[in-house]
Amino acid sequence: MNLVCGTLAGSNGLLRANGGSTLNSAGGGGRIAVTATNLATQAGLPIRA
Amino acid sequence: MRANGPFSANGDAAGGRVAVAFNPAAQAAVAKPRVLFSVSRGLATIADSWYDMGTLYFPDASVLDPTWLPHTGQVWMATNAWSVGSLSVVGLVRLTPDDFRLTVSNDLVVSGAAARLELGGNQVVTNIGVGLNYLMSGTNGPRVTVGGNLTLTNGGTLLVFAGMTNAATTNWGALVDVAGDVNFGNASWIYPYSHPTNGGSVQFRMRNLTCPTNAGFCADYRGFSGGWGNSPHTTGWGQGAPAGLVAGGGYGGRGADYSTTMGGWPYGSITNPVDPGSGGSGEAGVNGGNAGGLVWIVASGQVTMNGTLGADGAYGGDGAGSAAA
Repeated sequence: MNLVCGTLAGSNGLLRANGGSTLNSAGGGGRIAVTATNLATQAGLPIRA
Repeated sequence: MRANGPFSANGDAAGGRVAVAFNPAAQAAVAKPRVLFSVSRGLATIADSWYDMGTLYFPDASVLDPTWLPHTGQVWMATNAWSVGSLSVVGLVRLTPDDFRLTVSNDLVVSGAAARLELGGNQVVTNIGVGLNYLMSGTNGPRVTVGGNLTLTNGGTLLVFAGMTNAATTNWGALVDVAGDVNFGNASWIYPYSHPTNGGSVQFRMRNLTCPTNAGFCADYRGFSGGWGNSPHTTGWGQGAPAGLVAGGGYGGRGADYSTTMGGWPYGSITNPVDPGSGGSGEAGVNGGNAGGLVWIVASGQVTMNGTLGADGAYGGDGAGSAAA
């Protein structure tokens, strides 16, 4: 996941890139990159990979 | 004009085909007809995601009214371009031709629970893993240019199927370039599909992005394909595909091993990820899980995210996992 922006805001957002589950061999986690000049409201914006 | 699939309790019927051969020059000179075209798939009690709507063929788009687009079907045309002032989609329309160029000078609006605009997806994927990549674009994915705003609201959705990546230039497999803002309303989603074997993905450009709760971009299960479970069994697709059958795909992290078979390795960029995740491998009778796709947003202004950006990998059945992007 590749998010490039001037500023990032949010109060209840979610960015996720999780690996798939399986009985035998699950996938690895993904990638999230956020490139912003100003993280306006980082709190409350969970980012999971 | 309709050629819809029938209702069925179990089996699901595809839509039919409608072809309208008109004189493009003469058609362009008259008022847009208020004729509804529908080749929807059948409605089944037990639905699956594989059966598809049928095809609508026109010499060009002059028969389509961009202010009234309630049709249902795969739209095929002899041309691969459509330029309009504004575009309002309330039906289920797939602008299908390879390398399709949609140019909207003003606003593009997809509004309503039944409203879905699909771009690309002219090939059916036959040896897929577990996931939702049942369609893909060919070599060249679609390009959309919007001079105003892109608005999805009241359940409206946008699907974009990437072609192969043009890595020698800008690395995307499809492009949605919005000069203004992208605005989501309630229950409205954009679904970017990476090319399942090449990894080409959709880049979205805009000024500002505003997304409320219960809306956003969903690339879950829309990355590299998982391996095939039918003979011959295959490993998953992607740079982080597992070394052999059954094991899990890698991307940001390594995929899981199965017995002595190694899972897929990490790859790609930490700071500028432009790849989808790699699919998990299949085994006898069980497809590997498709990987998560790529949510790729370049916004010059503010992104206000109260919804979800998702790119999770799919469940891999009994034998294979998948990675996310």
